[in-house]
Amino acid sequence: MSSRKYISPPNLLAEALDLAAPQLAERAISAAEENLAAMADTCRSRIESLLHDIDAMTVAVQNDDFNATVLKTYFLAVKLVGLGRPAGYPDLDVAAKSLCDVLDGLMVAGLPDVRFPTLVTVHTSAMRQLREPAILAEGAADLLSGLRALRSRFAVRPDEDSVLEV
Amino acid sequence: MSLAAAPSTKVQFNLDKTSILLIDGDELSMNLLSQILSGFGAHDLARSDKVEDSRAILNDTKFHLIVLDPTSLASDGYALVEWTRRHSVQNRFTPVLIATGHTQASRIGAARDSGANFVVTKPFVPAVILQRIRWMARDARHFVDCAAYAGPERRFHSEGAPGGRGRREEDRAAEALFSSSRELSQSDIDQIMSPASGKK
Repeated sequence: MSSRKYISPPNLLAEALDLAAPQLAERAISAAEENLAAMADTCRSRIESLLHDIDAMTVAVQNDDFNATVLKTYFLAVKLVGLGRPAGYPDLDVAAKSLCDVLDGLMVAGLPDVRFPTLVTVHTSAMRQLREPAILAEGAADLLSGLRALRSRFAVRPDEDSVLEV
Repeated sequence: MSLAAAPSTKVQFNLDKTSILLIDGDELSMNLLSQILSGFGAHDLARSDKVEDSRAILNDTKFHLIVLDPTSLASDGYALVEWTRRHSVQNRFTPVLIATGHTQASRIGAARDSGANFVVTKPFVPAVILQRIRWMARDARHFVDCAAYAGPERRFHSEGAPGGRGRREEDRAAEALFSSSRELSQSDIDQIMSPASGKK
């Protein structure tokens, strides 16, 4: 017979919050945003470094194992996600997630794909352009739309089999 | 910022009495999160970038909150959460917030099954992080301990036993999401992971 226990432990997090000195949530958020803003340059520098490393994977794939290279590229792309916003390039996070999705799709497919370098380069080029919103102006929407189209083609899609069955 | 993520301006929130363990294999990511939590008033912040070190810390020191990025660790971060729920001397019941950059549905399932309380996706937005911490403080779900799972009850409400007959629309929606392997948005994840109280 299976044994399932239900426990109601005290919520110590709630108790710690109750004991805290009064501070408006609005003020806490504002302070957090200020702290993040102070890290903008560090994030920009890391973005540049990661984009360089990701581009290098398009060359490495010619000599190294395909799946291992895609996996390495994926983990580099994951590191990019979340740096755009504090760096002041929020759209870059969208592009980085798109790259993660596309690489995830390639990994699930599990077969060498000659389009890997192009798919990566399209994304890194887009991310570099998305760092220049003033120059890009409304072109950012077009760029992201293009990446969405790529993502929909290569990312793992739900219910793909059922669509084929219909 | 969405209205759902925006806390009321009257809400009080301060982490000055809250001890937090950050587990992240990426130093910059950990620094970003640390800056957000410091802005919220936290000053008792412990850090770990390795699973083995984290286990030792979790056994020795009690925390009010654990924040972890499982994808940044060299070893399986989800397994660390599972270990915490089953074996940690000090932190079996401590709320765990998973913070991750990219989430496949299959990994969200791993997060849910590991015993984490919530998942939040990057980029970190302070208002969203604050909201999730408040949700965890108000999380009234029972802690379930059985052979297959240890952690907060995985249903949205505590009506009836998890699984089996009598499933509600929310459960079916969650199952549909878990059955695919597509990338999930934060709202998808919230729908799966949040208790009903958190949606209000």
